[in-house]
This record gives sequence, structure tokens and C-alpha cells, in this order.
Amino acid sequence: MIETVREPAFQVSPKAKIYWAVGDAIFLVILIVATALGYFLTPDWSWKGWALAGALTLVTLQLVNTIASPRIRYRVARWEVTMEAIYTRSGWISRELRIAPLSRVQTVDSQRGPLMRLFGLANITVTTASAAGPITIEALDEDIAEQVVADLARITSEDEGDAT
Amino acid sequence: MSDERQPEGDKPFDPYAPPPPGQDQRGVSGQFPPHFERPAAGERGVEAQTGNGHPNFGPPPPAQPAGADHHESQQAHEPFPEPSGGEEEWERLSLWTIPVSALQGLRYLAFPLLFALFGFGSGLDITGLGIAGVVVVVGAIAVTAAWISTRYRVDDVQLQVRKGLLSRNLQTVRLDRVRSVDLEAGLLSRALKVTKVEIGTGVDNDKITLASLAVPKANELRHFLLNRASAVQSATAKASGGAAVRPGVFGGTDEGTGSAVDGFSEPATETELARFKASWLRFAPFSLASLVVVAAVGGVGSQAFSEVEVSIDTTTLEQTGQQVLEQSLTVAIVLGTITIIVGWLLLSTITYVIRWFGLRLVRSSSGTIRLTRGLFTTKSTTIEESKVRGVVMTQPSLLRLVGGAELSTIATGVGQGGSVATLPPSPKATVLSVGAEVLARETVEGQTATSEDITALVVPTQRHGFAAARRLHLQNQWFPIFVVLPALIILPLLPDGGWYSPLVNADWFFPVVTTLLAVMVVWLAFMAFLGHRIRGNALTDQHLVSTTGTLSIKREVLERAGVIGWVIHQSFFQRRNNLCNLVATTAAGSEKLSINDVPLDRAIGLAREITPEPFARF
Repeated sequence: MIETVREPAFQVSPKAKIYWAVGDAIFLVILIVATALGYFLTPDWSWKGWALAGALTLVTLQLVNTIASPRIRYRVARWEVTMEAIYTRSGWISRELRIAPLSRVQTVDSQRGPLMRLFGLANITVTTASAAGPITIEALDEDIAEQVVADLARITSEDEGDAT
Repeated sequence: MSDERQPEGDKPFDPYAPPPPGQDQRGVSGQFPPHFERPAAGERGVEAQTGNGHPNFGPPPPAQPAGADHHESQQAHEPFPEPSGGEEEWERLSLWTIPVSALQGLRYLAFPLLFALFGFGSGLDITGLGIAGVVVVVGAIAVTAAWISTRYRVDDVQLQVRKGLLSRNLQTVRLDRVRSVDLEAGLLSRALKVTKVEIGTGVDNDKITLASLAVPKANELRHFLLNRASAVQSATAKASGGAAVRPGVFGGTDEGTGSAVDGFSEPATETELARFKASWLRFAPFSLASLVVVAAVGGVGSQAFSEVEVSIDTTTLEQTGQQVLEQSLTVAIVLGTITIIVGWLLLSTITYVIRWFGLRLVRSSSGTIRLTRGLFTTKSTTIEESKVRGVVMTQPSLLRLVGGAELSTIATGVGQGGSVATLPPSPKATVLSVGAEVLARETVEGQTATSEDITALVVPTQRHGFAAARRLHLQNQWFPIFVVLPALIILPLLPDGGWYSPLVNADWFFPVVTTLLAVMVVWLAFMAFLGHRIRGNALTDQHLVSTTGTLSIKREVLERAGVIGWVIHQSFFQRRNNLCNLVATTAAGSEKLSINDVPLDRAIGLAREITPEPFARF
């Protein structure tokens, strides 16, 4: 029998696409500016052509990333919290499933960067006793995030034991 | 559970026996043996307030045990029969702490001191002597101050350690968070019958250290802490009140006889799982770590040696000719080799003996596993059995060749790295049986798995299939295929006159490089072949097993119940091959067990089987 696992139920906020695109675009602009500065402000040196080629490759890659990745990331990114577990899927070129029983959850945090606040988004990070196992739900709508954090806190506080 | 049960501690020989039950200890300083120096009441109050901010340091009201104010989940561990009111006895370390830590300090100061005394080889002078004197005096004061200022106390709920004369530092551990207790004693400590105590807690990597306690006292403390910890846990687990028994001063007894503080008054029995055997010494030379040391030393030595030889040779060469040179070279090589081999044998055996002599691994029926070892410095590690999450068996290449293996135990709360080296290089059969013994214990369902039921160390592992093998080969050949081969093709096509030209145009270049390339490709293919043959996973009734390695083999065994989450990662190429990297996260050891390039459905199957609960709805 082929074992499978179904995908998590919910998508992240649709605003995530714009948020990721803007983030990537900002990085793209920084790359372009740095390349331009490097090219025009430094004197000629023997490997300058190679350096420029390298920098332009980076710029191109980031351009592709900016155009292509937000939509794919949005399609891949899913999450679900049940009474028993938290389950996420994320990635773009690679895929990652993370799952943890709520009985093993130690902390529940939410983070909002400046850009995220602009779009009304929040990340939720759930940690367990293992450094290898934090689970992050990226780019949720703020009100949903708040609700999820409250639910998680309630469910996990009912558990006794030290979650190891 | 019987609340009124007497503390197991009042055994006739116990010098720290608690007062008879029913007689309240609170405030009766006469009850305490003289060496439990009880500070004046006023002083205590002040200290405690600076310490944990307890507002009222008389016996606190019964509803509020000491320490209830510092952890919100206190309520979960409610069933403590009595508040720990009158037992707030701050105890000191052993007075012998002073010479012991002074000696340790001297070790660090030895070089600076010698330097100060003898300067730049100018012999003794007054300034140097003065500086050395000041250093010694300051050191002595610091050591004494540390002894004066360090105090600790244990009650029903917590262990507190207070340090620092100028800046006060109070460490508080709840007893149910105590996972392991280490005792360590160097030569001086052993002569003075004191030992360092390190207490490992919960998920913190830092251990709480008590510099030196008298040995019986340290044993008692260890006994009490660990029994107490399991008592609290079983009480919580069974959700029925009153498991705890006040510790007296400690409810402890001498090492070995044990005491069941947990309400079931059967005395603890001990089973020996392993003991140092002189025959194990034959494996000592096959540890690569010591080989490296000897090779380095030998290398330097032989270099000096050969230089001497050569300088003699040049003078004798003109007189007696080539023959002497050849002979002396042969002699030098033979002597050098013998020196290295003998040095290796000696050094590896000596370090092995120093580290592992007297090894004794013991399981106590009170639910702990204790490892004692060491020739000069003796070290004893005691782990709560329920915190043991698995074992790792390693067979480094040389050791594997001669049928040896090593064993370490992974557990939560044993400090940095989360694992305890349990057996030195020793016969594989020993490692297998001891490993099984370590893993054998009461299962979740309440049945007891004996070591015969534990198959995790011998079960054949399932390989990862053709796609995984192909991926391993490709990964291994990455460098020759994508770097060396293109370079070989591109270099001759480049215009003449670059930095590479002399290299490329040399006669030897292509034959040598292609030969090297071929050797490299064959070797890497062999490694990939071995890697695939050895890599695998298995699932037993109790454990998840992963094997990895090529020339050496590592078998990691993680208890199913120790898995606290999963990560399934697929790179782009893994997705095309339906492979993934499966990571079982855990609180013990390196905090994860990774199984790479496993077929996706096998990975999901493993995860589902091991933790059905979170997967129930997915």
C-alpha cells in the first residue's frame, strides 16, 4: 500500500503573494544598485568583466525569483491546526512538510516585521523541545493569526508533562 | 498511596536520619546534625529575600509551598503532602572545596606563575616573587570567598543554589525537572573524600554545579534528587495525590541499598549491566583518535631523527659511499616505524585505561541507570531511566575491522550534546547486549520489555531503493563530473599563453590527471556503493532505527515515544524521484534523527506508524 498524507487544509493569506513579491523586489533593487555602484565607481581591474557577469547572473536569478516564486510559494504554502497536531507545508523549488503533536509544543510565538505590518500579516512559530523542529506558518492574516495563537495556547496549556 | 508512610531514610546507619515522623522539624535547629550549619534566623531571612523574593520567610502558609510563586504549572504537581516550611536549611559545600578548587586554579595559573617566578630565564627575583605572592593570596581569597558564598538547599519542591558574594545569583530547579546527576572526583578530591556534583535539568544544556560535597552527602543528594524526580512524575502521571514523602534532610541512604521514596516501599535493587574487562584493552589501539596523536608526535620525532641521520651521512658519504647511506636510511625507517607503533600502542592503551578503568554500568530498580568510570578522576553519571531515549552504536572503520564497537546513550537533560558515552571500544557482542539492556524498560503500555525483546540493535535495516542509490552515486561523482571533466575538456581549448599553459603543455599532465580522475571515480563509486548498502531504516516494536556509514557504521536507535515531531524535506531532484529526507525530531541527543533519501511513502508510513495521533486526520 502506498502511504500518503493529504495536504493541510488552509492556504495562507492571499496578500502573502504581494508581500513576498515586494520583499523580493526590494532585494532585487538592492542588488541592481550594488552592481551598478560596483561597476561605475571602481577603476578597471583584470577580473572586472567576470565580476560583472557574476553580478548580472545574480540579478537575473533574483528577477526570476521575484516574478515566479510568490505565486508558487502561495500555491505550496498550506497549514492546518487540529486538536492533536500542527501541520504545515512550505517551499518553492523544494518542499517541506512539518508536523508536530500539540502535546509536544513548548512555545507559541507570532512575529510581524515592518513590511508584514504594512500588509496586515503575521507569522506564527511553534517550537518543541527539539532545536530541529520549530514549525512556522508564514504570512497569515493578522486576525486569523491572533485566533490561532489563542487556540494553540489554550490547547497546549491543557497538557501536563514537560513535552519531551 | 500512603501519605503517612515513613520516610525510607531512617535506617539505623544513616547519620542524616530525619527526626521521627510526627515531630515537626520546623524551627527546631537542634534536630540537625552539627555539620548542617544552620545560619542565624535573621540572616536567613534577608538572604532569602534577596534570593527568591519570598516575602515571608517564616514557615509559609500550608497552601503555598515554597517555590509555588516561581512557576505557574506548580498546580499541576499539587500532590505534595506538606509544605516544606521548616526545612529551608541553606547548606554549605564541604570545607575541602577550598583546597580542591585552589589546586584547579593553580593548574590554570601554573604557567603565569612560573613565568613570574623565573622571568625570562633570569632566575628568582624579588618582583617576580612579589607578583606570584599576590596572585596566590588573591586566588586563595577568591577560592575561600566562593566557598563561603555558595550554599544550597533542597526541599520537597525544589533545589536552590546560591552563589556569589558581591553579585547574588540564585538558581532554582524544580525537583521534577531533574534528569541526571553527575559526580566527578579528581585525585585530590578522592583523597579528601569529596566529589563535584552536577545536576542536569529539563531541556537546559547548562548543568547546576556544586563544587565539592562529601561523598556520602553527594550520594544522598543524588539519590534523593533522582528518586524524588521519578516519584513526582509517577504521582503526576497517576494523578493521585500524596506520593511524595518529605525527604528528612534527605531521604537518602547509602549508595547501593537505595530507598523507594515514591511511596512503594520496596528497597531498590541494582543490576549490573556492564563492567570493565581487561580483555577490552585489545581494542584500545584501534581508535583513530589516538592514532592521529601518535602520528603527529611520531612525525615530529622522526623528522628530527632523520635530520640527524642525514647530517651524519653527508660527512660519512665521501668516505664510505652509497651503501652506508642506504643502510642508515633503512635503519631510520624501521626504527621510526617501530617507535610509532609502540608509541601508538602505549598511548592509546594508557588513555583508554585512564578514561574507562573501573567502568560499571548499573540499573537500579528505583528507575535510574548509573555509569561509573575513570582511573584517576572518577566520574559517575546517573540518568533517570525514563529519560533515556535511545542509543547509538558506532563502529569506526579500524574498530569494525577487528570486531569492536562503541556505545553511547542518548537521553534528555544530560547536558551538552545530550548523549553519554557508555561503552568504550569493546567487543561488538558486549555492545549489543549492553545496548539492549539500556533500551529495555517498562513500555508505555506497562509491559516490561526485557533485553531479549529489544531487536533494534540487530534488526536488518531496509535499504532505500534504486533511485536513492543512483542519487548517492550522482552526489558522490559531482566533483569529477562537473569540475574535473569540464576542466579537462576546456583547458586545451583555451588560447595559449595563460597561467595554465605550462601545466597543460607538460607531457605528464594528461596521463596523470586522467589516471587520478579514474582512481577518484572508482573510489567514489565504491564509497557510494558501500553507503547505499549500509544506509537503511527499520522500525521495531519500540524503536526507530537508522543506519549510515561507509567504512565505518553508525546505528542510531530512537525510542518511538521520544519522537516529538517530523520534518519531511524534498529537494527538486528528490521530488522527481519520490524520495525525501525524513527527520524525526526529539528532545534527546542531537535533537534529531535524520534518514536521508528515503522513499516518500516509506517515510510517511514510518511517521504514521510511530505517531498515529497527529496523523489521524491527515
